[in-house]
Amino acid sequence: MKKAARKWIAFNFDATPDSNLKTSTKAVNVVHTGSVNTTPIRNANQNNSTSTSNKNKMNFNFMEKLKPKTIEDLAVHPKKIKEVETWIQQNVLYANQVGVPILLLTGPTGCGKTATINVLCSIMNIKVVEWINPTDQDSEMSFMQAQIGKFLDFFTQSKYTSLCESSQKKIALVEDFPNFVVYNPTEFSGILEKCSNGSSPIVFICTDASNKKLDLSQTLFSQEIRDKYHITNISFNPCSNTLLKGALKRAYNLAQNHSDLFSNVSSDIIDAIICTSMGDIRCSLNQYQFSTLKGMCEISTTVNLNRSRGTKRKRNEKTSTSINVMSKDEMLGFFHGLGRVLNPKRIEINNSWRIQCDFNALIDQLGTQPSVFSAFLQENYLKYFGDLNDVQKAADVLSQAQVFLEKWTERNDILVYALWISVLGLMVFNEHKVSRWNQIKAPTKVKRISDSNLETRSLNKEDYLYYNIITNSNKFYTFKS
Amino acid sequence: MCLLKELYGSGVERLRMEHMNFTTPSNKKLEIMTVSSNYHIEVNPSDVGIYDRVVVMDLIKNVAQTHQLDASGQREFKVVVLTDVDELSKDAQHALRRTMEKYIANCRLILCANSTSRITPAIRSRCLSVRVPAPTVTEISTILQNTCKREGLTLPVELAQKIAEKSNRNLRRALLMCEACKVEQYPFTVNQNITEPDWLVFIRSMARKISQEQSIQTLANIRADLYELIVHGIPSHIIFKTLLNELVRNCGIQLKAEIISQAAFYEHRLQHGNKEIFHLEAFVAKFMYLYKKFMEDTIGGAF
Repeated sequence: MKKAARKWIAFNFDATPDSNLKTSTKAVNVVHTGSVNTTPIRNANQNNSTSTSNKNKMNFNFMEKLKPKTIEDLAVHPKKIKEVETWIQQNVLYANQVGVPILLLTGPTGCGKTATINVLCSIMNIKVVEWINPTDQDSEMSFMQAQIGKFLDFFTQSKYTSLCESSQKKIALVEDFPNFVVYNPTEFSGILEKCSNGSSPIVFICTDASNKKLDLSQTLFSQEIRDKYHITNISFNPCSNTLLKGALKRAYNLAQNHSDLFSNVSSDIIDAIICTSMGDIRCSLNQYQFSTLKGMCEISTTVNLNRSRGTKRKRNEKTSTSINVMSKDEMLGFFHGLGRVLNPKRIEINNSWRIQCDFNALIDQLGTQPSVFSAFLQENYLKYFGDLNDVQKAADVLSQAQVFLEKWTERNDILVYALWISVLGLMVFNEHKVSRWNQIKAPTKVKRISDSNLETRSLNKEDYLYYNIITNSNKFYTFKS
Repeated sequence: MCLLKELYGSGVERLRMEHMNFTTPSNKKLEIMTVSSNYHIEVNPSDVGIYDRVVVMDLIKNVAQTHQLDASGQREFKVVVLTDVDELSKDAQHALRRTMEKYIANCRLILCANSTSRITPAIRSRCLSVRVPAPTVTEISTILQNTCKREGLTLPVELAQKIAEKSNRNLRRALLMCEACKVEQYPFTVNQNITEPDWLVFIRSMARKISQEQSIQTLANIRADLYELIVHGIPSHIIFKTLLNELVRNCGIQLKAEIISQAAFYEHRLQHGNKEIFHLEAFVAKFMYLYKKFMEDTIGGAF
């Protein structure tokens, strides 16, 4: 991460048009690592300043202008904003509890976590003190010690108001987690312990990551710690398409006002942007800006081509053409995962075969709801099998996995085993694959029809037929063979 | 019922139906039918599926909180009758275990179940278990005849015997069958057609389908049939048992043994898991495979 950050800085001084694309690749990559989260403004500056050699354009800060200033500007669901607002009101403005109030915001990249905090605080006249990783250390060891110290200092200092300022309320914001915390999460609880003795309210912002090891909200803030320090957790969802559209409209209006700098874009491109950004407002705004800039005509046509294909297929094909580097990493969707499992790809290696698939990544992606996934598999696997013997084995495997899933109150680990069993079983046993397009069906919902009235209450469901015959009615369902 | 009457007198026969409402921790509203008198309450918690735990706990708590009004003349406890206890989820059974001990002072429980094997040992050890055997065929036919006599009907002995056999020693079903026969044809004749349960016929046709053609397409059709059965409330163990019975009917003894051992295996899993369809389907697939292999082997051996 450190490396990436450094390179990034280095490119900053190297603003030739050729390096432009590379730079943006880096920028996107940095965002994707999930743990080092750059602020939108910096990111935007980067693209803006390097994307063109025109002085005028360089000075015009698109993102700064677009920065939300009121609650209405935020592309976040109003209920979420309200939630955060009440937390701030209860814990910062009218602080009456013992201990330090801690808020943890989680959500995917670019769903407006930081922006929400900033806007709300500026409205309520609260000062936000943000932790930023110091970057000028050499040796790893001393670096770590020093960082711990600095991190602690940050919390203690954040308590005191500067002499020059009026005594307004303060919030310490940690978004850029210090590196040592990422390497050994255990130390983090010690730090929490120390800073819970007294400092201003703390807001942690964690980005969701698909990889478990990188998911800071899980590794750092385990349930235990959350309970111990009374950490409130508010999790954000990816921006909905309507919200994104609203935000882009704002950007569009801004671009209209500066028509000397920006050209018009068709609504097709806007739709494509919304589609490819997958709920990431930062990414979509960057893309928008990129596609509107004048002097970018050539590329923006390729944008058009690539993007429209993206919209058609509902997901962005990673053909790694010049412009697609801007789009977000594709999340392996639920249905995509289903397809992978049901259509295993095999490679022949001298008489034996291997399945071409990264199981770890696959299971990691799907780990959220094993029972739902296995229900989907069960509903759909038959159509992909070409041999009865294979089906028999697969059905056996699914039924085995089901036993694991039954105790759904138990820990998540066991559910993941069920997923492993069913996924591997289906993929390995599918030896005579039928390759054709099949519609994925949702699992049949088994809703038992229960009927209770006085007359039929003493009746077993198996005996409903006789009730029908006796009363000569069709009250109950009759099986017809 | 007779036991309750013995305990409280004729007051228990004044029954009323009530819909009781419960709220789960996740704020889902549940409604369940109860039959109650001043002294007892009868409920089938498995009606609400996976939320049965809430019902069990709240119900017993409610009942136990209110004391009998006239403690001197009456028993000092109320009775909760829970039916189909073996259908309860594991969660509910654990909850029941705790609650039944806590409120024992003013509340007694009568649990009814078809099989004790699905009741946790913890509950079994807390209960006095009384096994009520199913009535024998002769008993049923006598009862049928007595009933018919009281209704002013004449029932031939042979027909009564036949109904009793067809009812699978289920008295309720026998009575219903008898009444259905009456609706269809009266006066009774000895060789009268007795309508069999529709689901039985249904499963039989399923078994025929399975034996006729072993293919993935058939399996998919069978799955639809299984869903139909499950949705309309036929308990999965009955589906399993009937299906097995019908399937092994035309199998050689060697194949039969293998299939039954497989069936026992999947039936065990079915008791453990909560999605019946997985296990039923796995069993059908297994059967198809074994049957097909067997047929191919015999045909291959013949030439």
